[in-house]
Formats: sequence, structure tokens, C-alpha cells
Amino acid sequence: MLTIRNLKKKYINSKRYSINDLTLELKEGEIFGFLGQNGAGKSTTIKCITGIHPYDSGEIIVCGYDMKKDPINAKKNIGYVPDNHSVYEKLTGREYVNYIADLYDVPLEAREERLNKYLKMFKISFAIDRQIKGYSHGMKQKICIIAALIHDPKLWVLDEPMVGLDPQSMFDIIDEMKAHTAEGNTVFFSSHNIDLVSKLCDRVAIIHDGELCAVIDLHEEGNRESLESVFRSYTMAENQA
Amino acid sequence: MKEYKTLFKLELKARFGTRGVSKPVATAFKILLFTALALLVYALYIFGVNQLVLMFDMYEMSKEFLVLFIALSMLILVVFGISSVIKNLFRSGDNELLMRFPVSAGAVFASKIAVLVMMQVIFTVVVELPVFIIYGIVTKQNWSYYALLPVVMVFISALPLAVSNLLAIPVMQISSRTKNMFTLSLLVSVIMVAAGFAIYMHIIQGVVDYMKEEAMSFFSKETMVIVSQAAKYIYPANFFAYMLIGEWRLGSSLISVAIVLIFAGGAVLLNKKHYLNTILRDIEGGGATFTKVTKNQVRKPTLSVFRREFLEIFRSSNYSFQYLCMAVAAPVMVFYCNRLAASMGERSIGAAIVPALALMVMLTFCTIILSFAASSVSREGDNFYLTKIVPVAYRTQVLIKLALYMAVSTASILVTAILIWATGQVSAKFAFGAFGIAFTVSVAVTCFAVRLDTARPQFAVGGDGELSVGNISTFVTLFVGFAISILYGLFGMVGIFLWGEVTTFLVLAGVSLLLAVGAALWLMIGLDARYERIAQR
Repeated sequence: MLTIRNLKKKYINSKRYSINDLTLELKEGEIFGFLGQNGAGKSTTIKCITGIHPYDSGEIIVCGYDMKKDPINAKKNIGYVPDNHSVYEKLTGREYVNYIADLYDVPLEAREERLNKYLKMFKISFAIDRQIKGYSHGMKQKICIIAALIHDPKLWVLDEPMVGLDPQSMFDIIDEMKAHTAEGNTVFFSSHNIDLVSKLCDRVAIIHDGELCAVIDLHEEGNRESLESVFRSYTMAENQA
Repeated sequence: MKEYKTLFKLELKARFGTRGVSKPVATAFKILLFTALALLVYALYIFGVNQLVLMFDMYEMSKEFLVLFIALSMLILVVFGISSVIKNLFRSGDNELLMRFPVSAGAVFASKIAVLVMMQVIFTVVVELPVFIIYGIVTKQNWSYYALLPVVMVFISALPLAVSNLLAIPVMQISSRTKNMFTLSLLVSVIMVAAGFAIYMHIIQGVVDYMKEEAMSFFSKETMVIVSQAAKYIYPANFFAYMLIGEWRLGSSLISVAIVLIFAGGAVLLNKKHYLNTILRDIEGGGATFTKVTKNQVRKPTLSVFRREFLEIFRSSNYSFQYLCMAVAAPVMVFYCNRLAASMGERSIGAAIVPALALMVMLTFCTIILSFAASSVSREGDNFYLTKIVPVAYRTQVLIKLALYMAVSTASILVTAILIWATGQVSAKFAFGAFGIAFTVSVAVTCFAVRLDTARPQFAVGGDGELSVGNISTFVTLFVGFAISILYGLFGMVGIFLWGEVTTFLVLAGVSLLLAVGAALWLMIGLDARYERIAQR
């Protein structure tokens, strides 16, 4: 579903690599968590995967399409929810979702069916024809999620999706993540919340200072319980140094 | 007092910044250039004012001039004052932040109003003082005029600020009720800009006629009677003027003081009572938006991007004014400018230069409209990431934006060409030729503007998601566009004189085509790589 090989990324004016030789393989039907401290390289990795940031070397293959060689087809298979919930706020919710659906060539019937499903799920039917500018933080997050799912992407990428959401909305997103992967799709999300990641994910990667420290299969016995201590072992080493 | 001082300093820093000088030579050059330009504009202003005062004096209407000038400057101060008061006092971005700190609403108000007073004083000294001095010299006023001048200047600064404060709250209420009536807002803006420009050009035309013919061409006898009668009833500007020139001095002075005190007192009382509540209500209702029930609809990706780009502009009063309003009002502005330029040039050089002047004016306004394209990427602001993640090629997205800018500017140029032909300013042959050249140049300017912004976008957006600082690419585009307009105008004048209209226009059309092709190539070559790099900044 997603293959990252030897990914290297250095920002202009930066002396060090923000991502250094990262290699990951995400399978179909799994929820994959991406853990790391602030500035570890989680968002940068996600921005490379989604095509926002160019990268210096390495490969990113989405559903068989190379992000550098065939970005259009690679992007067609991704649905992305950013951490800042930025959307075109002068549009109404429906205009925005339809705009995104147009860009992904979603047929009318499919977009109506999906939109109605998610409006019901996230309980924002009442606001869909209102200008987004007046939405609350959580509502903006929900419209971002709906727009990201409107083309039923094979790979759903979320950057810190739970920040600022009420508990019910968090449960709704978790349910949708599970439902999405149950259909053979993949979810890749970054988080600071170890507890959430340990309960929800099939596998998790820990990134520290731009380098991949570990990929942990949470179905293996004892891994869920020890995730916090494993995470701390990688981050503590740096802090003590 | 201490909290007031801190807030005042904060306000000054927020407005004028505290950035250091990173490139001293470049900064010194910029300062030098800016100072030279400012001095030139100021010299032209002083010259214009002097001519205006002389003209009114010649018609024995100097008293009326003073009343009209005071009234006009106070009106300008009130109009801009309302906007400044709303922007800086009631809808300032830091209001919400300041409300969280242990500072009184009074101190916040005082620190913000102090900056407005400062700006008002600068305007009064720079713009009004020279007029009063020129007036005093031309009309040979005695010492009492100059002695009372500072007092009157304080009055005509304080009164508009007080009135602006009183009007700001109702204006805010009206604006929040009409802020989502986009077509109405655009229509009102177009009418105001076009009408304001027409009046302005009419006055300039009058001054030019006076300077050229030195005859009684500006005021007919009927106009003089109307102006004289009207000046008597323009309150309170007439009292301030009478106070200065010594007509019914005691009475007008007392009335002037009373008026200023009443309005200033009213403003203080009103703000004391309502300032805090108003900003809290505004913070609370800041997200008030419109509802538009639509059906889900499938559009082609290209059409969808085009529509979204248009809606983003149309639904922003700021962008709509900068771009759509200017594009719609441009034909009227070109018409008046052309008329004035032609009347000036025709008399001093000859009728042959009229087509070249008309082309220059058309290109100048075309540049103003198209300079908006220089923020095509920057305006995406925080949403720029969306242009990177969607499965639509960067090249396609840029070309769609280009198509929108071209569609609007082409419509504007076409209407302009038809207008100046229909009103008999130019021949049909010229109108057609000018349209062709202006269209080709606008392709060049648009490509140039977009190219600049793709190379160096500035995503400095405010809380409303709109650009909050001037974009350097816009200034460069304006500069280059104006340079092209002037060069075309000069070449046209000389060319028409030497080789005739057709040959000159053919040469200009050829040059325009080269410029358009060159700019298009400059934009398109390496576009994807340039766009790809943007996120790294």
C-alpha cells in the first residue's frame, strides 16, 4: 500500500536531515501509528508522503505509483487530514467537499452517498450549507475528514487527528478508521497519544530525531503493554545525553 | 498610567515593527528612492494646491475655497477615521488577546486611540498645513490668521475623530449585516470608485483648463452662485473658516469650541459605556457567516478550480475591491483619464498624440488590475498545502488561475475600448488596435506577475485568511507594468508623428507579442520544479 525506502529530507537553510534514511512498509488493511516527540520528523514524513514537501532522496510508492515519477496517480490514492484543519473558509461545507470531490473525479452518486454517510456519522448535517468560516475547531476538523474520505482513498493519512476534538468525535473517527481498514484500505496517522496508539493500531513506528527507531507489531504478545516504556527508552536516551 | 504606556508601545511596535536592517545598502537605496518619490509627489501636491488657491482667488471665491477645503478634509478624515476606528479599536486582531490580560478596557482604548490621534496629527501637518499657509500668503492674511491656525487645526483633527468614534458602532452593525451581500457590496464599491474618480478628474480638468487658458472656464456664473450659497451652510466648516479669516470671529469661535466639546464629550461618554461591550460582542460574533443551500454537483476539475478561485475573490470584500471593483470601474477611469490626458497633450503637442496617450492610459489601468495576479500563490495562505495534495498538475492549477485573470482583464479592456470608441475619443480602427495590444500586453503582465509569485510567495495571512502585508511581487509587477505603459506611450507619440498610426501600432503589436511569448516561456519553463520547492520556504 505504502512503501517508503531510504527517505531523506533536509530543509533549506538546515544543517541536519529532518528525515534520515527512513524505510517503512505499510500493508493493506492495517492501522499504522507514527509516534514521536515534537520535532521528531512525523509531520515532515507525512508531508513528503502526501506530496506537500519534496524530498532529497529515497522513494515513496503509493499503491504502486512513485510520488516523484507519477504524483497525480499517487495522490489519487491518498486522503489527507492536516494538523491545522486549513480549508477554504469562504466556501460552505458542501461547496468545499464538492470542490475536493471534483478534483478527485468522484461521481455524483458516490459523493452523495458518502457525504450523507459522514454527515450523519459526524453530526454536522445542520452546518453543511453554512460558510466554513463560522465553524468551530472540531467542525473544521470534521469537514477536513469528510473531504479526505470523499474519494474513498486507499491510503488515509492523518496528522494529529484527535487534537481539539470532543470525546464523541474522537470515537467517531476511531470507528471510521476501523471501518476504512476493514474494507482493505490503510490508515496512517501520527500522534503523541501513546495510549490511543496502543489501543487502536496494528503496528506502530517510533521516530526520533528524523530516524526510525523501531517498528512494533502490537499484535505480538506484550507489545501493547510495553509500548510506553519502549517509546520512553528511545526518547529518554536522547534527553539524558 | 504604566499599563497605558506599555500598551501604547505595543501598539506602535505592532504597526511599525522592530525589525533590524539586514541589508544596509539595499535598505538605504530603498529609503533614498522612496524619499525622492515622496518629495516629488509632495512637490506636485503643493504646486496643485497653489494653482487651486490662485484659481479660486481669481474668481473672488477664496473664502468659499477655505470652507470647502476644511469641509472636504474633515469629510476625508471622518471616512478614513471610521474605517481606522473599526479596524484598530473594535476589530483589532489583538483585542481577544488583550482581554485575557489584567489590563483595563480604558487603558486598551486609550493606547489605541492615541495612535489614531498621532496619525491624524501627521495627516493634518503634512496635508493641511501647506494649504493653510499657501492660502494665507495668496489671500494676504494678517497675523491673527496665523495665530489661530494651530487652534483651528486641532479642532479640524479632533472633530472628525470624535465623529468617527460616534459613527463607528452603527457602521459596524450595518457592515456586519451587509457583509455577506457580496454583489451589493461590489456594486456599491464600483459606483463609489467610479463616481469619486469622475469628480476628481472633473476638478483636475478644471484646474488644467484654468492653467491653460487662464479664462473663466471652470466656474460659470451659476456655479459661482451655487458654490457661494452652499459654502454659507456647510456647518461647522464655515465656522472654522470664519474664525480663521476674522469674519464674525467671536461668535464663530465660541460655536466652534462648543461643537468640538460636545462631539468629543459624546464620543468619550459613548466609548466609556459601550467600548468593552462592543468588542466583546464582536469577538463573540466574529464567525457570523452566511448559509447557502446548494445541491451536490459534479464539475470538471478545471472548472471547479476556476470557480473556487473566483468565489474566494468575490466573497472577500478586500480582494473583491482590489480586483473586481477596479476591473469594473477601469473603463470609466480610463475614459476620464484619457479625456484629461488628451486635452492636455492635444493643446501642447497636437492631436496626433491622442491615440498613444489613450493606449498608455489603458495599459496603466490594465497593470493595476493585473497586479492582483502577483499574489495568486501567496493568497492561498494556509491552504497552499491543498494545491500540493490534490491530483491536479501544478501547471494546470496555475494556468486556470491565469485564465481567470485574463478573462476579467480581457472583459475590462474590451469594455474600455468600446467606451472610448463609442464616446468619440478614438476611431474604431484605433479601438480595435488598442484592444489587441492591451490584450497581448496583459498576457505578458499576467505571466510575469504569476512567475514572480511562484518564485517567491509570501504566505503572510491574517486571522481572516487574507494577505495581511503588501506582496513584493505586486509592487514589482506594478513598476514593470507602469514602465511598459510609459514606454509604449512615448514610443507611440514619437512613432505616430514619424511613421503614422498604423505602422506604429503594428510595431507595438509585434513588441507586445514578443513580450507575451517571452513572459509565458519564463513562467512555464521550470514551473513544476519551482512550485514543488515552494513548501520548503
